[in-house]
Amino acid sequence: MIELQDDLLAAHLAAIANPLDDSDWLDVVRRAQPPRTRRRRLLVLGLAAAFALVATALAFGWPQSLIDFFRASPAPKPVKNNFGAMNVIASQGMSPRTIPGQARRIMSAVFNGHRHVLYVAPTRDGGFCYEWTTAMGSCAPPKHPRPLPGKPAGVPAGPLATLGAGVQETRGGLPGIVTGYVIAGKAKTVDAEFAGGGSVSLPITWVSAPISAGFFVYEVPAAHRTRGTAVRAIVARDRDGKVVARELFPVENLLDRATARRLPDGTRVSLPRMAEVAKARKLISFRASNGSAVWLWVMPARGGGRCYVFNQGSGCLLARFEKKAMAMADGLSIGTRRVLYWAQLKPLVAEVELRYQDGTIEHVKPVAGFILHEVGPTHYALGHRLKTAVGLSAKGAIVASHPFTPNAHGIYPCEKPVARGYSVKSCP
Amino acid sequence: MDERGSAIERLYRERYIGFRNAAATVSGDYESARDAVQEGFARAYRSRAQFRSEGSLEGWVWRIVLRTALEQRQSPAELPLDEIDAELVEPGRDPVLAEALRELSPRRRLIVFLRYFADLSYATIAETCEIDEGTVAATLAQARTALAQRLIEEGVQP
Repeated sequence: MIELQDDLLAAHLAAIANPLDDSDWLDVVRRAQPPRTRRRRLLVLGLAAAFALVATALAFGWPQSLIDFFRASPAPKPVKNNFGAMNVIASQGMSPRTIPGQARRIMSAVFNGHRHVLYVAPTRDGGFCYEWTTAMGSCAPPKHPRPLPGKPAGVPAGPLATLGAGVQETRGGLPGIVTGYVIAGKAKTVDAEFAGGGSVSLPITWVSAPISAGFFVYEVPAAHRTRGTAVRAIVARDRDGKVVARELFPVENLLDRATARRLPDGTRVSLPRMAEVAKARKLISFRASNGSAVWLWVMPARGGGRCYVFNQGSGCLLARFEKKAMAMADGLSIGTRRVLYWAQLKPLVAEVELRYQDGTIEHVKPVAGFILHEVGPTHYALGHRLKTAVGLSAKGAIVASHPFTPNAHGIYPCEKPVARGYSVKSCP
Repeated sequence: MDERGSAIERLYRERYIGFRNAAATVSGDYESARDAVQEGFARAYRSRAQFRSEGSLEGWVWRIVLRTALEQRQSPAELPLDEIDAELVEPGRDPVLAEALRELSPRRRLIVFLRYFADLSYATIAETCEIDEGTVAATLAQARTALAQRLIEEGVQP
């Protein structure tokens, strides 16, 4: 029993432990040096940095600076691993194709009370990915997109965005930290625009080819952390002040915000405020093959519609969006020791047929428009996995179909995860 | 480098992630935890001649690192280590576990983190927190039972 508890706890804590190795022994040795030597060195470094900043500011106009990408310091190995991991954990066809070995340290900035470092890595398709240490990151669309599966070569995967911005929200759901990039070209400046009027120009750090983009970070001041004054958009302008790109941050409806709630049986879950939890009823409940409890509850949503929650997910479908909803919204919910097929169905879908690679077929009937069904261990091995889910009408006609990707890794549990490189392990 | 300096470097290289993750539960985030580990090891390295071999070098370094992490949070530095109010850094990644951990006393929580994030032996935990090894064993057993029971009640399996 103790071993079981030990395993259970160890597995949970291991799953949330941060695996990033950002160690730096030389930094420890440097910090351990007598203060006098260190102060002198810091002074020299400080003067050099100030000189560089003044020079770049003069050349490019404050508040902008320029970094020569290939002269920037290489990123440490753990960061390179992070960029490499993006390629190996991505689902089929979605790899950003970063070049981890070329990742560089671009700049650092203080926000959230701590210093953060920006690292950037180019991609093989002419784009780039970036990350702020322990904060956030993203990838810019490629300049030379690969053709999408099933499309002729040369068809772009999507438009090349000029601007990309992401936010780290405050507890109230408003932008607290804004980070992003702007592609070099027409765009010359970037502003943050506030609700209720007004804007502020953001300092940009431009990075030379092959990145050819500018980066910004903005810690929103307290005065702009209310709903009436919050950052509503980031805009890029050309040299004449004309807007060339805009990224909007719409005001979130407080009812959409997920909070910790308690179901009638006392189970704690995370659900949007619109979910009327007191009226929740348990629709589905069974034990999975590993003995764990599986359940699904539904409840009305304030303003019409309904919300649902099950062990591994939740959602709400508002009445006003019901007409536009798909006949069969479904997917696989992945756990480390069980796999669940879930579906939310319109009334025209009377039954779902699950077709497996080995020819096995399972028919599952919805309960009040929901399905929660275990894909059992006999279907974990390649050659036996879920291939297609087909929605059938009461007369047996196919009304919806969803193909799955049986050879995608990291979906089905296994005994021995396989090393994928860059410290990533996953089940085949 | 002297033998003690080499031992500190070896400890750092072999156990860095454990130090950083456990320190984060005290300092509140990974960035300040990294700084606490760097600064803590620097302090240990600088004052290694003062280490009096009464306990293990590892326990001594752990105490320094946790105190440095405590400083990052601006908590009273004289607070006994087993009273540190350590918490999960990203509770949203496992809300049920986070909630269950919150119901444990600060001492139990820290000992759980040192055991499972840092993979410390009972002896090193005892030395780090300056408590008996038997107390560590009993505390861990109680915490394990409480947490496992809670996870099973919630239907959460690893």
